[in-house]
Amino acid sequence: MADFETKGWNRDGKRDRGPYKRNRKGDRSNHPKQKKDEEGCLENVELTPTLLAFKEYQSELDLKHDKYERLVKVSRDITIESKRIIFLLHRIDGDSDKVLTEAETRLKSLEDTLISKVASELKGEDLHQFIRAFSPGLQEYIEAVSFYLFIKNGRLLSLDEIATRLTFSLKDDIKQVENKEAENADGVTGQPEASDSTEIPDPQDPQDPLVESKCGSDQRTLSLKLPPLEYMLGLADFTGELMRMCINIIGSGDLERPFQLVDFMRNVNRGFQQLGNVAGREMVRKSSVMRQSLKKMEDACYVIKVRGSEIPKHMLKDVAFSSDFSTRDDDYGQEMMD
Amino acid sequence: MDEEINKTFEAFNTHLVKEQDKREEIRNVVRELEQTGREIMTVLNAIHQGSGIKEVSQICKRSRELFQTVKSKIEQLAALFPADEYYRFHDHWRYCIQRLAFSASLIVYLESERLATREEVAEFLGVTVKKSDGFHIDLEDFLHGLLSLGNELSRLAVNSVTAGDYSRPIRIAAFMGELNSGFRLLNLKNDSLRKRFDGLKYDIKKIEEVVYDISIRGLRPTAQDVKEPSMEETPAQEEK
Repeated sequence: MADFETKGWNRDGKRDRGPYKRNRKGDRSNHPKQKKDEEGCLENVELTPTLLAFKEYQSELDLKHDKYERLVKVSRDITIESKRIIFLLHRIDGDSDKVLTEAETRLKSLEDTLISKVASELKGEDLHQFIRAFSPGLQEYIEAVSFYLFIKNGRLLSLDEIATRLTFSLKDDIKQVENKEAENADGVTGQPEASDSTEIPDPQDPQDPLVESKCGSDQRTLSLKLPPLEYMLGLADFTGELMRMCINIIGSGDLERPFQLVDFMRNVNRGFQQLGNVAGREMVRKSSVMRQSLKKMEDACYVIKVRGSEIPKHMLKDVAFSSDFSTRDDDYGQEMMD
Repeated sequence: MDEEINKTFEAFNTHLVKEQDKREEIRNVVRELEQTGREIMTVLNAIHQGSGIKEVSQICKRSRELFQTVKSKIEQLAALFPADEYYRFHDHWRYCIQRLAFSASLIVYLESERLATREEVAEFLGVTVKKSDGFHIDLEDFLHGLLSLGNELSRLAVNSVTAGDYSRPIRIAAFMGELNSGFRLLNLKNDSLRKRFDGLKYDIKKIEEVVYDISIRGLRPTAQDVKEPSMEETPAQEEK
């Protein structure tokens, strides 16, 4: 008995897929590639308890991997659309209302399609199990939303606001989009999210907005609860956009706004500095990129201050970058401009 | 606007500090758990000694007792965070649980010479198998444990021959064959589990060599001494 099993195992262990293939297809040599075949053959082989157990493990692993892959895909789509929205926002000069309206519409539809898909994928799951799959997309999205809200209101996006945006009503999706568009057409400014919060129960405890979150839902709503760390990482990305916007503004000849932007940026930077390195390696890396961005902005402001009156406005941008700091590693800014 | 930004960051900072504290608590419990895991492994290691192989049942009994400590520690661990945040802190105990799953499956193997199911291993640790039921054993961690078992058994095969037990390697070989075909059913991603699985073939090869060695020397204990031609495929026989 033992001997017989040893035999089977020997061939089994030695040449991949050997015994099963031969059982069915005579002496065909074994190609490493034909996985399907092998599985089919295994089903014909007597199923021991072990193999039955592994079948179960197989389906469970497959289920998990599939979900992961789907999330990666959605995340990539979110990234692409968010990047486009950011580019759109960078095109603002003069006619800001129209661009802002368009950005809002696109953000809304991004939330209603792709991000709600993430939320429904994660329904009843542990969000942290899959966070690596969708975190890039989510951060890019936060970058876009915070950039949009900054341009619109001059404020930093708060975690509460984003939590409200990431709560989806299951039935009223379409209606909400329409509401939003109507609102924007009327030129209503302020917090567009406020209209949502009346009809959707706010899942967050107002006292403690940083209550750690997971994916939850009731019958009517579905929400993607954002880990604060992801939110912060998204904000760190947003400062890169801020820098780029600042430089563009100098190019367009506005000599007031850059100083406001630098002020704002300094505040944000201070916030990030005080976090230290407890927030993880990714955060440390982003903080140092942010410091570079801030330095670029400060240098630009310096040039405006010192030479602004001497140089024609349309040349300021070139001058601001031809000075001593042009040698500095400009990769980040370059990347954003591409 | 200034204060608003400050408030945001202050809140986040508080959050980070809280999280840090929680992780510290978890790490402490996991450290104790690791300690127990090492004790179990020390006890189980006795099977490699010439004398130990004969008192397997005693060794298993002793290590089973130590699993009581494991259960209480895991209970303690599970109480530290809400059940649905398991994966948030998973990294802290992942390795430890893999080792424990390995110990548990080794005990099951030594006692009854079959592959432990996930339910059995979970029973050892006092956890569940389903994510929805709270602290569970992650499937991949369990599979990691099984791969460690393969590694350990290849060592046991060698040592049992040294100790004069010539039938055990043959049984181990059969067992490993089954384990291997089980793993081949899985569609593994290119992750750590896959890498570990790729190592399984060396363990199998090792055992094959042992079986080969005892076979050609006529040390096989049973009457079925018929030589099997497929053995000739074993390329490396220069072991002795």
